[in-house]
This record gives sequence, C-alpha cells and structure tokens, in this order.
Amino acid sequence: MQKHYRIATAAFLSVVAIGGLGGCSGHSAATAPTTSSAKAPIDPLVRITDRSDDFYSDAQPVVHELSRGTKTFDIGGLPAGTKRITFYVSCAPDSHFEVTMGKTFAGPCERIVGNSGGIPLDSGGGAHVTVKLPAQTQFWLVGIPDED
Amino acid sequence: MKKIIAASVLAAALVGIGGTAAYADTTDGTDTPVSTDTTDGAVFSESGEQQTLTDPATTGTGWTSPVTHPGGDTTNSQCEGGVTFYKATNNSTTFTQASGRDSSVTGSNGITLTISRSTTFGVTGTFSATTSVSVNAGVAAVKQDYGWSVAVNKSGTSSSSGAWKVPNSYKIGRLTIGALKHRGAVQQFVQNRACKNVATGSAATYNMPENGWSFQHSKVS
Repeated sequence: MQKHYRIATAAFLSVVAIGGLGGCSGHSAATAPTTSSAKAPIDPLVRITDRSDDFYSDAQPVVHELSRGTKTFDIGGLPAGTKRITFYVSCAPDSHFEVTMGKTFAGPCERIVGNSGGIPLDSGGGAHVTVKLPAQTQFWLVGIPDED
Repeated sequence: MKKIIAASVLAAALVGIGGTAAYADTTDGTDTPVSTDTTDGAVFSESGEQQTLTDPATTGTGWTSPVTHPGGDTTNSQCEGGVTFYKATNNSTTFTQASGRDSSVTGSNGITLTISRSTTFGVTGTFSATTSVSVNAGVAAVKQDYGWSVAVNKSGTSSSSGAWKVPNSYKIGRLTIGALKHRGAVQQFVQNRACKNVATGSAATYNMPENGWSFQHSKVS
C-alpha cells in the first residue's frame, strides 16, 4: 500500500511540476527558477513514474531538483540497502551534462530525458551530487535509489 | 453493502496496478540484463548477442542458381536460358552510430549506462541502383546471399536500453546505439542455354543499415 501511495504521490508531483506550479516536496525545486515556456525541460519523473515507460521505477527519488547551470545537491533519505543511485537529466536548451557523485556520468540532454547513469554509492562521492551544465541551461535532475 | 463493493473494487484496482520493479526496464520483460562486457569496441544486438564486424570483405553464403541441375552439371544445354538472378557481395560490415543527440553516453568504471528505448533514432544508407539492379532486387539479393535484412534508411526505437556496466579495466567507457552497416555490390546475371551465368549491366553498390539496433561498448580511456 505504501508503494502505491508513493507512485501516486510521485505522479501527482510530476504533474504539478510540469504545470509550473511547484516542485517536489522536501527539495529545492519549489524555489528553483520557474518557466512557463514550452522550451522548459520536462521533469524526468513523468517518465519514471509511468509504468509503461522503460525508465519506470516505483522507488522514491532521493534527488529531485530543478535548477540552472552547475549546481551541487545534498543527497538524503537513502533507503537501507541502497547500492547505487541512477540519475536522469533533462535540460533546455539542448546541451551536454556531467553528473558527478565521486564518479562521473556524462551525455547529451534534451527537454525529455533520454539516458541514465547508475553510480554506485561506494564511488567516494559522499552524500552529494554535482550537475555541470552551461550557466543558462535549465535542468531537471532526478536520482532514484537502487538496491541491485 | 455499497461499502463492501467499493472496498473490493479498490482492492482489485490496487492489486492490478501493483508492481515490484526496483528500477527501469523491467515492466515489459523485453529488455536484456545489464551487460558486463569488457571488450573494447564490441557490438551487441538488442537481444544481447555479440555481433561480428568485418572489414575487409567476408565470404557470404554465396548465391544459388535459380535453376537446379541434377548432378551439378553446368555445361550441358539443358538450361532454359534467359533466367535472370542477382548476386550480392559484401566488402565490409561496420557499426554506425545513430543520429540523434542521445545516441551515446559515457561514464566512469562501475557506472551502469542506459539509453532510452523511447527515443527515435535513425541511420541512413545508400543504394546506387542501375538499370539492371533496382533497390528492391538488391535488398532481396543481400537477404538471400547473406541473410541480412537491410533498408536504405532505418528509423525507430529500440527494444533494449543496452544497459552496460563500464568495466573496472576502463577509466571511462562509452555506450553507443547504432546499426550494423553493410557495404558491397549487387550484380545481375542471366543464365544462358549453356547454363553459364553471364553478368549483365552494371553492378549496383550498397551501404545499408541492417534492421535491428546494436549497442557498442567502447573504451574512451
């Protein structure tokens, strides 16, 4: 039951985020720059919470941030047994990102998330993750804990 | 009574949407497990099977005469004559990265990289047809002689995310989606009454992607 509640909550928060009305509770997304432009990045949680999507997960995100440029975020609330965090990035305008949590995952990003990188927790990155993007590039960053 | 029915419907709905997937790629059961391949430049199909690249040419399975002759006799005059067929040759098979920004990602060792199955990718090819070899005839000849289903242009989504864990022997690895591309020629032949196969017209040349997506694992550093 708790799992279903999490799914419903995540889906609701995604819809709210897309509508430009706010972000994920407990994170800084609510205070991040807001845009009503159609060119704004789409929250990766839209895909992650869609059961028909290949990025689907029913796990609660431990990172869910909307921001710009290069930023570092703390990671909290990791479930027991978490061995890695899989990160998803969407951005606008199209760019090339780097996500570093001890080790680095890099690739192209667009408005809709198109790839992911699962970084093991034992990579020495501590409890924070850094996203590197051009200063004016807006992005969503989502981190999903994984026990595998 | 209404409460009981409502509770039952709610319970059934919750059971119906219940899921246990811990992370991506498990909802429809079509994706392959995370690869731990450690071979630089290795290419894998959507189903996870390693594929062979060839450059220079390979020997195909060879063409088959459209007319069979008992005992393999090809010198008598028992052939009908005028039978047309095509023979394909292959010069190389290489991996070509798909167009589209999301067709490649990199990561340090230990990181599991994936590329979305929902993204539409494309790989273009060429077929230089001649008066004696049409595109359709050439594609059919390649299929018959080598077993490859090819098309001049390929576009679509993959059935696999190509999940790959960058091996510890790499500092940085790259996961790329693309297609195997075959390069070669197709020649038309006409079999005469003496059962000899005579090349007619000019050969067509092709450089076409194979149907089905492939994933390349490569070492950046």
